[in-house]
Amino acid sequence: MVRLDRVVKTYRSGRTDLHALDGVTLDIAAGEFLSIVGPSGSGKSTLLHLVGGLDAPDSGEVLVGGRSLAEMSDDELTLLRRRRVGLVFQFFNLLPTMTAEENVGLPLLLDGTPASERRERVERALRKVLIWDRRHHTPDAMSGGEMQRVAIARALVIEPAVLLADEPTGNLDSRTGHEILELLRTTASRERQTVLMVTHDASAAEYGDRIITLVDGRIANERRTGRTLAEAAS
Amino acid sequence: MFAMISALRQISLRHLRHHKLRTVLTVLGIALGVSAIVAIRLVNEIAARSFEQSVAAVAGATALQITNGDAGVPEELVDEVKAVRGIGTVAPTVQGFVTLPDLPGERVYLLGVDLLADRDVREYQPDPDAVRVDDPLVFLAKANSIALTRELMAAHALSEGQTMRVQSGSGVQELVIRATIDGRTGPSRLFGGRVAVMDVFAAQRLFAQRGRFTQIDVAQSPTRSTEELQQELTALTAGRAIVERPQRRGETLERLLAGNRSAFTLGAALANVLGLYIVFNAMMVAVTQRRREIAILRSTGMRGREVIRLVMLEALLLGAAGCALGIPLGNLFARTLWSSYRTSVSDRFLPIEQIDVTLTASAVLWGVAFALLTSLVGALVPTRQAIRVRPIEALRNTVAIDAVKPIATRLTLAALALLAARTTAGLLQARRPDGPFATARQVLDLGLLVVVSLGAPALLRRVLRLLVRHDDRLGGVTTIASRNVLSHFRRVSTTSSALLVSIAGAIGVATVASSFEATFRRVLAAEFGRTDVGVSSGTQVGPASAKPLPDSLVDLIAALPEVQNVDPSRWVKVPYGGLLTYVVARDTRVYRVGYRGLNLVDGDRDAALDALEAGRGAIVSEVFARRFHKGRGDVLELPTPSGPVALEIVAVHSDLTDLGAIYVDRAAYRRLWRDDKVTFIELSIATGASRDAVMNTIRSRWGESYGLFVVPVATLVREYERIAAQALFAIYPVILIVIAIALLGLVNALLAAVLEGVRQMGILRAIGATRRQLALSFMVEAALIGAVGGVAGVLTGALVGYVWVGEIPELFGMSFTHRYPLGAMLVGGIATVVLAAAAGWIPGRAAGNLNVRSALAYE
Repeated sequence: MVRLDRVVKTYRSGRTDLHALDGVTLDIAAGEFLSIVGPSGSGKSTLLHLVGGLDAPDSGEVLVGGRSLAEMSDDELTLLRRRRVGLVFQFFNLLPTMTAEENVGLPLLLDGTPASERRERVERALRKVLIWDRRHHTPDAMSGGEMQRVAIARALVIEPAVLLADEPTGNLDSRTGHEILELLRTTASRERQTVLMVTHDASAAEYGDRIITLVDGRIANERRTGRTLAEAAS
Repeated sequence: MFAMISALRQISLRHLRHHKLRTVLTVLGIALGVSAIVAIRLVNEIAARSFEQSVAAVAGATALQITNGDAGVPEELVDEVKAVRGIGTVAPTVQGFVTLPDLPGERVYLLGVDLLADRDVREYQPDPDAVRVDDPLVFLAKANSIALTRELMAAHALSEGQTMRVQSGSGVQELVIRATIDGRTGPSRLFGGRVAVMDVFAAQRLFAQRGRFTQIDVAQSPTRSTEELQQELTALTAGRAIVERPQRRGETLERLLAGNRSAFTLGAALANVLGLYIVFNAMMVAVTQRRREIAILRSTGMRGREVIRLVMLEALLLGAAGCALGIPLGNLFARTLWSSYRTSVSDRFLPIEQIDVTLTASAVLWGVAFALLTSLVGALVPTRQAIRVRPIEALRNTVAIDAVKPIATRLTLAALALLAARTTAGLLQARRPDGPFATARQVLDLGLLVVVSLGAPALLRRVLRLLVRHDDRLGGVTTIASRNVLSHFRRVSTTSSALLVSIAGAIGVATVASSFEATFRRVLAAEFGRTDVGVSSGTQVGPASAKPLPDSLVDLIAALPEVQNVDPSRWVKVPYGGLLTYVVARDTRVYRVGYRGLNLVDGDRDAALDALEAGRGAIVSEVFARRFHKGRGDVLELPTPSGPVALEIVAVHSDLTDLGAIYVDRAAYRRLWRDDKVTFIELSIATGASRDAVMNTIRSRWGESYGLFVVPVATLVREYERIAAQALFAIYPVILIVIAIALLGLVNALLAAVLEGVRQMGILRAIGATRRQLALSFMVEAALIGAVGGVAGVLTGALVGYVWVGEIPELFGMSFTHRYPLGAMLVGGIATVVLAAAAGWIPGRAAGNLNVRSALAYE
């Protein structure tokens, strides 16, 4: 589903070049849950941004669903995020003036989805993440866990093929974090969605099928957690 | 203090440098406000100086002037004045404009002077570089001698000895240039040297003013005080002329222009209020955006008052930069404004001195004080709010939403208080018309407008909430836009208030103009009645520039077979109560037969006409009644060449004279004023006859000899409308500045919103909003603000217009019919939305071009 081929990304900070990704090659199968771990500055978030089309590599290639992102225009990349790639952030990134259901419905609204269909899909997504009863609340009236559920619902509402989660539990307490991860894992397995999750937390990483460790922009380690797609599916 | 300067350098200056575009926009906003202030101040100062110099230029060493408006003073008065004990030099003059038929478009102010006496009171420097006539007697020996300025001669390649044709009231005359004068001194300075001098008696013949002078100038007496002489001369000339000091004429002009200046000042006040809004907004945004920075400063030990001091210093810095740009810009605006102001005043009242517009210390000081004070006030409020926020709140990594306190109750109370104060001022003004209450009412009106404008945000919020409630039916772009406005509501709310003020001001002016037009149409319809063609001698419409015509011409025109009816009228400017007004002499018959209408606002038509015909009464215009606080039943004491005359006011009539008018019967006028000339001849054409053919006949038979201006009445009506529009000319550039400032403020506020909402933009882009959608959302956002500001502005403008039209009697002396410019209101409303949307394009583009990854990381 997702393929990175010898991807290099360098950022310039003052006079220093920071190699965020240094020739990373990676294949993620459809329906696979991949955890990406590593110290700060190892390139984890950059990898996620490249897959989401939020940034472009200096060299190498990123393919989503068999199509190279380099060949896509800015509008096509936007449509990719709107229809096929869902994003979940550490700081939730909900719009403060919108209620939970409005936040969730936003990608559909931007896509011109008819109101009736939008309502149905928003309800489904909110129920899926068990936050339907808080649908009329704005973010300032919700807890961190609730906000993250809404953020996940916003990512799921488009029924994405790929879900990108950047430190989804980084701003939550341990118990809530595990609930969120369980939710991510269950829904992704059920919908056969490919998940790329960046985390600092070793226990969180264990929710994935596979864990890769990035150090200085390179894959330093890679291992399977023991969970299999079949297991997850069952 | 040093620590503060160091903080300013390290924090504020870096911030301003980092946000270049917004800093530039803030400075530009302040600069525009300052420029409006400086320009208006300069024009006011220059106008006052120019009036003084103009009067001094014409008056020279004159201590006293004996005048009687256009009616002039009787010739025999000169000998009577000369007989007064201890009198200084007595110099009679005849003055007026002439045209030069061989030089189309050229207009010269001709001074007929007693050259032997006049040198003691006025300065006529012979041109040192030109051939000069040493002995004035040579010049005087020939009645057709004229002296021109070197500038005028050079402009048309004229030389001494050459003959030139001059057009005046008596027709065209040939004069010989026999002297050259220096156009840079004395009265020649006026009109850039477009001045000619000739012998006073020759000028009398030229202007057909036999037996009368325009005025008599009296030089300072070596033995008697001016006050003493003025008293004696006033007694001597009682009923025939008035005696005043030359400076008084400058004051008279000032009073004449008071209405115009009030409108001008009102426009400037609007610009100031708006400037304050923009500066306030810019400062508030600057502070709000730095909430996090302020929180960091406070959490590292900076005290609240130190933050305030730092932001105040920054405000002073921005204010100073605004001054540096705004003051020269104001100078530039002043040049344009002054040029049109001077032309208009010179055409309508009297020639005024051309003065180069240069910055004055007081205008600069005024501009600097405005900029710095408004910057400080604009920065203080948001800074105080910012330091009240606990640092930990401001340091949270979330998308900030503006907290908005409901202020509807306070606003309503303030509006009611202002309304009560305004009503009280109105009542007091009615009791004491000369008191300061008119100004107080204007200030309160402005205050009321400001308070109403502060209600605009409430309306905007309601509209947004309505949109939000129905965003199922709206597209994504509108939803984003309405949510965006809500998320940075406080910042754009000031902009919506500013827009409201500017649109309300513009609509207010348009309402006044529209009411002007409606009133004009109504009055003109009565004024011109059933006349078809107007005949006068002059190059322009209006009594100010028309030269008198002989009565014999009336008979000649009346004898034309195609002419059905002829209505001659005489218009003369006369002094009354220290001001100038018109005496209009017309055959009462024309009103009786309904050939001409009367717009009576007080009095009975038939009784008034009886009194007029009997020569015992006069009808006065509404302007006159208001200017001189006279009404029906009052008796007017008028000086005439036959001595004082008392006329009872029998009716008040609404007309278009800006100076006011006293209407008398023409037969009575001829007898009392010893003047049988006419200013206008208006005629109606017999049924079936061709108007153009009659006009051509008049032109071909008498056009050249009398310099006739023959026009269809329809053209005259249009020309009057143009002149009327000039009365409000000064306010239009100011209103344009006001709207420009408001739109600039909108761009500024939206750009700030982009900067403030970077993270939010990043989120939207991350979840699938295209660049185009984001850019469009900003345009929709701006259009929403424009629509609310525009609609509220149009509605408030209708109210402002209503109030202003009601105040016109105070400013111009005549009451107007209220008429709303519905077309302008509609176009204004739509234009505001379109312009506002266009203003959203720049920030929209900036939002669309944000780097998503950086935007998401933005704090």
